[in-house]
Amino acid sequence: MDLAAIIQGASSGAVLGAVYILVALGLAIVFSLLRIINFAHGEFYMLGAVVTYYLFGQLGLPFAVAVLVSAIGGFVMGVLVERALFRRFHEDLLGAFVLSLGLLWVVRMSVTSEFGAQPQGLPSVIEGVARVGGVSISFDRLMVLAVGAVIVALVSLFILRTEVGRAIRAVAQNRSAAALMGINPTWVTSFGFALGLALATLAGSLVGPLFSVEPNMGGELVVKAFIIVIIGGMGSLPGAVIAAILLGLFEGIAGLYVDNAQLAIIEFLVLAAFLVVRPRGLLGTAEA
Amino acid sequence: MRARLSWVFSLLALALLAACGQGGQEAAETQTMTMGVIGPASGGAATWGIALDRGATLFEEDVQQRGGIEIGDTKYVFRHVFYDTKGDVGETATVTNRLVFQDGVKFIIGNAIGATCEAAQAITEPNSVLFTFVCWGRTNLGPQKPHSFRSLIGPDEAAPMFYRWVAQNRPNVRTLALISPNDQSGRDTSAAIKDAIKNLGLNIQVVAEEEYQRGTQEFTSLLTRVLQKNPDMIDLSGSPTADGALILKQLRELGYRGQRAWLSMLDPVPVVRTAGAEAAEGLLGIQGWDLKSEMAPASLRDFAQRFEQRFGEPATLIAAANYASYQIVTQAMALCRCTDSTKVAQTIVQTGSFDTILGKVLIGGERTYGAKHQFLYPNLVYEMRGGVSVPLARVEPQP
Repeated sequence: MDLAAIIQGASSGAVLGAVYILVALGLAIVFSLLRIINFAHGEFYMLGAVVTYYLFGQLGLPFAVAVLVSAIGGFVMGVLVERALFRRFHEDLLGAFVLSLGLLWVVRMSVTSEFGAQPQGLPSVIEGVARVGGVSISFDRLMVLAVGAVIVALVSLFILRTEVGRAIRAVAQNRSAAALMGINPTWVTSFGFALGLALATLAGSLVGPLFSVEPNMGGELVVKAFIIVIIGGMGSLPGAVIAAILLGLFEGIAGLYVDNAQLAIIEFLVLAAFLVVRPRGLLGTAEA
Repeated sequence: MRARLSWVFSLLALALLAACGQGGQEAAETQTMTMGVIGPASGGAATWGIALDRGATLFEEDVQQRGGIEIGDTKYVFRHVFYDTKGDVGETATVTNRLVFQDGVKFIIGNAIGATCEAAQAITEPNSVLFTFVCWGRTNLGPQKPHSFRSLIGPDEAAPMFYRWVAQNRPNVRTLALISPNDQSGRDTSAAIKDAIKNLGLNIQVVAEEEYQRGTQEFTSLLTRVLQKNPDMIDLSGSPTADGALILKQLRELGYRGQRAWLSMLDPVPVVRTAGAEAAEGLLGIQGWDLKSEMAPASLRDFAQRFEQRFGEPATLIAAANYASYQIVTQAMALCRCTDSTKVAQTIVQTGSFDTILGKVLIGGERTYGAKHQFLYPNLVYEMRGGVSVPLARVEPQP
């Protein structure tokens, strides 16, 4: 395998990594605030892609508008879903597990009945392919990389530098102590949940033109996001970012040598090894 | 006098009885026979299941419109129960059990994906349920499966027809890469292509053979691996519609300029919708041709037109093959004047030839499978140009 092929694999992995970051970040935020795992998270990624399919693919609205509507829609849905459903299952792993599985099926089946089961494609947003030294990458993929990087930077700045971001971190670390400091944990949790879902719908919206859009597309991705969150450290946002990049690059480069069934086996073996050797993940705390 | 009167009354009574009998026959109720149809209606192969369902629906509506089909002394109309297999083996076993034991069907007209057909056959064969399908698995037919029939030509029929044409008309194709799903129909398709090249003595070398999980969305690494071997032609072999479309799209992104072919491609419309017309440009195939093409039989063109009117989407060969299957099964019922699935299956084999919308369909496949359970009909080699399939040549199957 020559160097150009390896770089080609890495470029594909980088795009996957960008998508994984957006989805896993949302999952990690939800876990850090509510201490629950939202199995329906991947369905919101799918909803983002479906909204983009209708707005950009069918109605011909600009792609940026479709992405924006998806992200805002994801945020609004996040507020509603958290308030109506997840709020009463705070730190209730089993209850939230059952609830999120139910939500997964409701969302998937509702979309299937309206959108249909058949995968649909979207046209390119930016036609053309960049070729450098035997490596090709489409402008669509470059766009996903760039937007992904900008969003991660903005989310990081938001979490690290703003009052709301600090409040999210405080509630994630210690809910009671945060409340004693005058932070409203209920509001922060609702906001964080909505932010997580907005990131998922945004990711789905971005990948629409790269892959096909279908009701089942969130299923595998949410499993990958769990792997990332566990390897990164449950609830650790920097850990999720690092693990997502590593997983994307690993899939891109290892995919040059093994098929994707073997890849999945290797990924789960690595996950099992992490759980045995370093259960708190790359950057997780011992309590998490 | 009394004797004469008795004769007159007897004759009148007989005439009345005969009239009543005849009237009774005319007024005999048309019976509805429930059939089963299964297939993937979700996931990457969803277009196949939906086409099977629609092909069956159109046949049933046509029969209803002409008042039923006479089988023995009874007229039958048909309805079917459709279940989504999701392309999954476990789900297929579940829905087949439901069809056979809950819905009580004795005929299942349609399924796709080889491994799921195996799962269904584990239930249909022991229960003598006649099962027609479009699955490409090699082991789906054989003497041990007397109730099973394949309505679409399989890879062992398509590959020799197609590769003979490729060798004659694309002589620059000397090296070939095969990309297929890692399941039975995927592997059987690639094996059939390699066998055809070998058996026909063609000067084409298979330089790469890759497999993937159905539903994969990112193929860049796999394709990079394939392109390292510099193949003159890449055949997407047994890839389902959604996966193959993404492969074409990503091949274009990687700048591949060689010949592309897709032996199992059955429906170009969703392929072009997903991959774009440019990515599909120049693609060769044998089963995704436009059924309204001038090279197609008039009956098929008529079917395609009515299908499009009814469902708002172009008909595919899968839909036509399932319609033809229904025609063959019901013609066999009419011939044997029976609805016993085993007798109907035997009648199909013994009759050997049926008139359908595909034209004259021969029942063959003995040389390949050891049993005459394969429906055979001519196909068209086509090329994708500007987002539509353009027929290039008519190719005949080997009996």
